Order: sequence, then structure tokens, then C-alpha cells
Amino acid sequence: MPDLIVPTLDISDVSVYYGHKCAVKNVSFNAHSGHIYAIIGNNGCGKTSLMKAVMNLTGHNGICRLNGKTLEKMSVKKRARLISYIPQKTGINISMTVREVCLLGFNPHLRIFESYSSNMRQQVDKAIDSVGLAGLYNTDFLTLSEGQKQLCILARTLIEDTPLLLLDEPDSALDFANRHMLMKHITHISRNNKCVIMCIHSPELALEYSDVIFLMKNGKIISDIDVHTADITEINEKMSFLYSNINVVECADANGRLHKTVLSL
Amino acid sequence: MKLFKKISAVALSMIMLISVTACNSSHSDSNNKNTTENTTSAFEIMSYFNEIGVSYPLTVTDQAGRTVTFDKAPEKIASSYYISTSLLIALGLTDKLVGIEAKANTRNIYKLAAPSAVNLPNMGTAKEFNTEACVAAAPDVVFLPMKLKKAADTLDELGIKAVVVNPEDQSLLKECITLAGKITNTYGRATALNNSIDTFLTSTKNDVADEKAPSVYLAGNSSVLSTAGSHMYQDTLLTNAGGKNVASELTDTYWANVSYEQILTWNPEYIIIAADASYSVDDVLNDANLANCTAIKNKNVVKLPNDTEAWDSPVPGSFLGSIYIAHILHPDKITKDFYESCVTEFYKNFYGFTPSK
Amino acid sequence: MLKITNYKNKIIFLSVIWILLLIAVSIWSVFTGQYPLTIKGLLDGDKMMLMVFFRLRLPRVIMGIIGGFGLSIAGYVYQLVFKNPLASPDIAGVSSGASAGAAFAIVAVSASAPFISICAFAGGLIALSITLLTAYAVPGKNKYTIILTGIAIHSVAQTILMFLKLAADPEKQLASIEYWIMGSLNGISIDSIAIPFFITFIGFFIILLLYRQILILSINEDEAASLGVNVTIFRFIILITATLIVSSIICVTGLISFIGLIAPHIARLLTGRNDRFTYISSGFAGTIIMTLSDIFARSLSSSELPVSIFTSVIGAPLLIILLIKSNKKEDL
Repeated sequence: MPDLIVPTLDISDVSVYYGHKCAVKNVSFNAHSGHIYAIIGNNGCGKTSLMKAVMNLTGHNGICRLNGKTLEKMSVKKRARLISYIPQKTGINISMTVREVCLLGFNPHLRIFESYSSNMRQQVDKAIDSVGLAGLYNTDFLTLSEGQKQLCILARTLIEDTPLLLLDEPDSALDFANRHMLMKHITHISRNNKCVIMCIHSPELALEYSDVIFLMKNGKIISDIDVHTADITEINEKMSFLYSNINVVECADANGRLHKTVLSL
Repeated sequence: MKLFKKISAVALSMIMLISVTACNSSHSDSNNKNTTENTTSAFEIMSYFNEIGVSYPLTVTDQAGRTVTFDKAPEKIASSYYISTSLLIALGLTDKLVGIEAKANTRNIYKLAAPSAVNLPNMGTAKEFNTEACVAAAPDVVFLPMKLKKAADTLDELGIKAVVVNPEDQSLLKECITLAGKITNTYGRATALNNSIDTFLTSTKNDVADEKAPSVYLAGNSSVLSTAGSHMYQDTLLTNAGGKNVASELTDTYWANVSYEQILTWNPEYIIIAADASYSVDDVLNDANLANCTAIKNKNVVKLPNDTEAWDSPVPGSFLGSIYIAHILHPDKITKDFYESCVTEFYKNFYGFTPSK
Repeated sequence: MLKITNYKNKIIFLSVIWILLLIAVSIWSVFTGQYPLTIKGLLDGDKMMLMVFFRLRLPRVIMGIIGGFGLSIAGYVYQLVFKNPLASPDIAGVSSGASAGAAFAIVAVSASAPFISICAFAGGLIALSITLLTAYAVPGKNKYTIILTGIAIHSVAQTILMFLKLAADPEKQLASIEYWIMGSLNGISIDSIAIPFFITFIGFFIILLLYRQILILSINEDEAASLGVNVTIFRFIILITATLIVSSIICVTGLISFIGLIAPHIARLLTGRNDRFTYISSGFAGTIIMTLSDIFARSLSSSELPVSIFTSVIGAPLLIILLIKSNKKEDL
């Protein structure tokens, strides 16, 4: 099982420059399948640039490897078969049905002139059902609520079925309920032996749903937190690198399960 | 002074009256006598330059209704319109020209009659008048087309006398010739020019009056699919020559675009192509889309000559266009010889050169 | 209007409407014109009538159909790829490039129809190539780069056109340029419709086959790449195809405005989507507007009127009516 030996995603020494401005400075980390990695940091810390570097959407130094293969050397299509991406807000701004939007997820697997098979259509409907949008197959994507839109994009990601998922603040436009629903779906996906990396604003969501948190500041990863093993003191200490006025506490829910929650001071 | 003006006005009208009678008599001659004699007598009128003095200061109303006063006969004349330029040459004023319109080198008449004029300063086009160049040339009078009426007012403010001319049809051309003749103190020559034009047009009209008018399609400059309707000068030329314009129902004041189908429906007996057309007679004869048209079948396609001037615009020599068309449509009535003599005599007398045949 | 809830039924309904309308306007168009054609005369083999019918009338009707179809599907593609509801062939400087090319042919060489066509075609392609090359050469490009470059190239082409107009002989050349720019189906001969027909036909299928990629391009560059579409290559192929269609048509007809802008919107308002059927519908809408416009252009008076007048006169109210009737917002 090579996957156990080689880390799924291996980022080594990645730097991103915009002109003379350095957005990401010599970032290296490993990420493994089956886990969710959260990158937290303030606006402008370089989270999005790092994501773009991994997807090769922006010029950068350093190398990103997925399952031992160099991502930079791949064609756009081959890379798309390995990485799927959920933006903050999708750029879809023309009338398409939910089903049509999800079908686009098959594009990396189709030859240039090949069209969708009936099997693919069935898979799409299943994916839509699984994110809780059942019955909305023929609804115009533009008429969906922001939460439903994000779930629809998530269904498209399921169709893409890639070993690596990148999410760029997927929760930013969502309300409380939708935000947690989306996170639960993502957790569910990651269990399916996928590697999930997400940029996220809220340390609370990161603590609740991710396995590892990378703390990013001024283009560098300054620290990381293993959410499952770190004790509350360590978490508080590391969080203070980014946020001077928060306090992480543990509390139990109605069922007695412990959650970490963030208090603003 | 006033009295003198009155006297001269009376004298002028007398002379006009005499010349008109002369016209009529020469015309009645033409009906009775044989062609050769008729033409010789007729051509004399072209060389009959009566010196008629013009008294200054002279106040005229130009064709835009503006009044302009001249203290003396202008010595330096500019013209930014090819029709007025041609007219000034015909009035023997080539040496007084100090500026003419743009693109002068494309007009054959200048090369033939006034080669020196081609290199004169350029006053701009009918669209873009070059006021500064005009001021720099310091003319005593500038002749401008109606389109440049605004420029005329500007020139007035700058102290340069501007005269707007608008020779849109035959009678306006006559008026324009008279106007230019008065202003430039060449009224006698202008009268001779007008008399010649009147005489020859009238005699041509009368000669073809009883003939059956064949149907004619007038093809325009840019394409065979553009034509002149009844409000264009080309239509007057054709009517004078005893032809019937198939497109007379069109009232556009500029070339109108029509379809091949329309031409086939009109089915003209003749197709006459504008002098400056960018295509040739052969292009029209070989146009497969027109193959079934009577004019094409009978090879009755001609192009107005352009080796001197485009007679389908109201230049002084435009009456020759009517004679040309008349000789195509009614060769029995207007002979080729007569047409060619008219051209030769006209340009010899008024422009001082003998056109090649 | 009929309320049709099922999209499949809507497709069938609209398809039937399109085909019936197309047949109706084509028949109307075939029997409209200055030459009095009668079915009896044609059946009797009247030589003149047959010639008018096959050499003049039919090519013109066919060119109207091809032209309307091609300009509209190209406009549809431009609007998707540029993510701009106002996109039309002008956005990449194509039509102004073609005008400058045609004016160049008229002023500098000769006014022969085939030569004007070639130069217009070349002008359109040159404008598009410069637009795309410049847009790719610009560092830090975003979604406005191509549009802004297109506007710049459009102005440059307009300036060249202005210079050529200034240099043109006002009597003949200027009139030719003006008439070309106004656009007309007049003077279309049987030989001149072959090239636009094949290019439009092939282009139509290329776009149909690449439709999924076009949809993905309409999202945004990052998402398109994450869905496995090489934005640079596909955008180039698709824009070149659409531009070839436009150039091949306008080099024969001259500029025909508005159809490429309005027909796609009409189709979108009717289907409420952006699928392949909407794409085909926009072609049909364009064809019908174009054919109707040409009927009016050649029959309202003895002289030929520019067809663009009527494409706007027919198209604009139609679009407004549909906009008012549709309770859904126009999304693009």
C-alpha cells in the first residue's frame, strides 16, 4: 500500500510572488488521505494563493506532489482528475439546472467530444440526493439559495471523485445551519479515503471539523495543531499567534460529547 | 452711380433679350437648314464673347441668399468646389486662381485646361474646409459649395469674401454662371457660356422631342446596383436627351441602392454608367445576374466619357452629357459627328484646348 | 401564452414553432421581391422567372437564413465565453476589423466584390488575433482583460476606418464603404453563399460538440481549470470558430448589427436555460429575424434599404416584450 508510505499530498518549499510582493513564503507540509486539514489565518495571509499554487492556477516556486506525481507537470485535465475545488462562491452566473451543473463534474473523465452516458446521469441524481437537494434536479441553479448552491457544487465535487479536495472558505456565504450541514458532508466525504484541505475563517469550525489545523501568517505556516491530540493549553497558546483576544474552551453538548469552542474576549 | 447702374441693368436685359431671340432664330434655322450649316451657325455662339463691363462696388446675393459687396473686380480667386473651379476656368480666370479644392490631380479637365491649377494650395474638401489654408492664400473671393455655407460665414468674419454657389440643376447652374461672371468681371463671357448651353440644350431637346423615349437605367459610381432617381441631375441629363429614366419613381437625392431583381423588372433598353464609375462596361455586360436584361442582350451599355469632365454633375459642360446620351439613344437625330464637334468647339472656345477624340 | 411545465414538452413545442416559422418566412421571402414571380410562371418554365428565382431570389433567401443563424450562434457563444450579456462580434474588434478590411479593399485596391470579401475576412481575423494575443501577453490578466483589449482594438480599427474614409473618393468609394458598413443581402449571388454556408455549418457542429467546454468556460477561469478545461486553448478554439462564422458571413453581407446580440437573449428568455437547445434556438431566432428584416429591406420601396434598420426594428421590441412577459430575471 504505497498510500500509507507516501503522504497523499506533499507540498515542498512553495513560494508565490505577485510581482515583488511575496504572498506565500517557502511553505512545506504533508497531507494524508482520510483527513481534513484546515488552514486558518487572517485575510491576506496567503491561504488562497497557496491553494491556487497547489492547483497550478498561479505561477510559483517549489513542487507539489500528489501520490508521488508532480502536479506541475500534468495537463490541466489530468490534474482535474486528481483535484477538485470548491470556491468561496461559484462563478456560475447563467441559467443551468442543478443536474447540468453536477454533470460538469464528469468533464475531466470524458474525452473531448464524448457526451454524458445515462449511467452518469443516474450517478448525478444520486449525488444530488446525497447532499440533500433531492427533487431539485431540474431547478435553475441561479434560483437556489446560497446554501443550496454550495451543496450543489459539493455534489459536483462528489461526481469529480478526486483523491484531493481543496475548499476555499466554502462556508463564507452560508448561514449557521447550512454551514454545519456543509461541514458534515465534507467530513463524510473525507472518510471515503479523500484528502481534504480547506481554508477557513472561523477557528471554531476548524476545531470542530478538521483533523489538523495549519496556522498561516504573512505567507508562512507558523504552526500546526493536531486537533485530536493537542490539549487545550497548547491550542490556546498556538491560537494566540494569530488571534490575541480569543480563548478556546472545552464544553460538553447535551449528549455529553466534548466540543471545543472559541470565546471572544 | 445709381443712374448708371439702372442704365447698365437695362442694357444688360436688352442684350439678354437679343441673345434669347438669337437662340430662337438659330433654333428655327436648325429645323430648316441641313445639319452642317446648322452646326456651323450654332457653334459661332460659343465664340461670341461680348465685353460687358460690370460696375463696382457690386453687391450680389449668392445662392445661399447671402449678400456680398465687392469694391473692385477680384484679382485673386479661390474655389473649393470642382464645379465652380471648372466654371472659373471656362470664364478664362485660370491665372487668377490662388487655391482650389482637394484631390485636384484626379480631375482630367485641370490637366488639360489649367495644368498650373493642379499645384495650387489645397482649400480642403466639401466636407472639411481648410480655413487656414484659405486665409493663407489671401484670395479676394472664395467660391464655396452649399455644404460649406458655415465656412463662408467664418470667412466673412475673417474679412475674406465668400460666395456660396449651389448649381444643383440646370437653372441653378445658369444662375451660378451669371453670378460668377458678374463678380469676376467676366459677365460677357458668362453670358456667352449660358447662351451656348441654352442653345444646344434646346436644339437637342427639340431634335429628339418627337422620338419615342427609350427606357434607360442610370448606373451609379460605386456599383451597378446604385441608380439615380428623378431628383438627381443625371435624370435631367437623360430627360433632355430624350430618354426615360426607369428609376424615376425614386426620389432619393443621392444614389439609391436597388436589387438585381428591380433592374430586371424595369428591364431597361439602355444602361448608362456614370462617368466616374469604378467598374467598366464589360463588367456590366458580363454580369450573369443581368444576362436576361434587354440592354445587355442588345449590348446597349455605355459609360459616360470621363476624359474631360464628369458630365453627370452640373459642370458648365454638362449639357454635352445630354448630347452624348442623345447621340446614343437617337443616333439618327444626333449624329456622332455633331456630338464630337460640340465637345471640340466647347472646350476649344471656353477652356482653350482641343480634346482628343 | 401556453403554460408548459415539462421542459421536454417545451423543447418539442418550441422546435415545432421554429420549424413552422422558418418555413413560413422562407416561403414569404421567396415570393417577395421587385420582380413579379408567380408559381404558374415558374412551373411553366418561364426562362426569365427561373433565372430570377434561382440566381437571385433563392441565394438571397438562403444567405438570409445562413446569415441570421451564423451571427446568432456566434453571438450566443461570445456572450457565454466573455460572460457578458452585451458581447457581440464587436467585443473582440471583429466587425470593426472587418469594416476596416473592406474599406481598405475599396480605397486601396478595387471595389470588386470578392476582393472586398477577402479583405473583410482578413481584417476580422487580424483584429481577433491581435485582441487574443495582447490579452494573453498582459500580465496579471483577469476576466476584463479580453474585453478591454477588444475595446482597444475596436477603437484602433475604427480609427483606421476613419482614415480610410478620409482618403476615400467621396463620390464613389465613400458611398461603397458606407453601404458596406450598413450591410445588405442585396447583390448576393449563388457563388458567394458557398463559403459562408460551409463555415457556418461546420462551425455550428464544432460548437455543438464543444458545448460542455463552452459552458465550463462561462463559469470562471479557476473553476474551469479545476473542471479540467484548458482555458487558454479552448477559449482560443471556440472564439476562432465563432469569429470565422461571423467573418465569413459579414464579408459577403456587410455589417449586420444587433442580430448577434438580440437573438441569443430571445432564445434564452424562451427556454430559460443555456443548454444546447437554447443554442440552436438562438440560431433559429436569428434566422427568422434576419429573413423578416430582409423581406422588409427589399420590398418597402423600389430602392434597397439597409437590413440592419429592420433587424433592430424587429428585434428590439421582440426582446422587450419577452423581457416584460418573462417573470424570471434575465440572468446572464
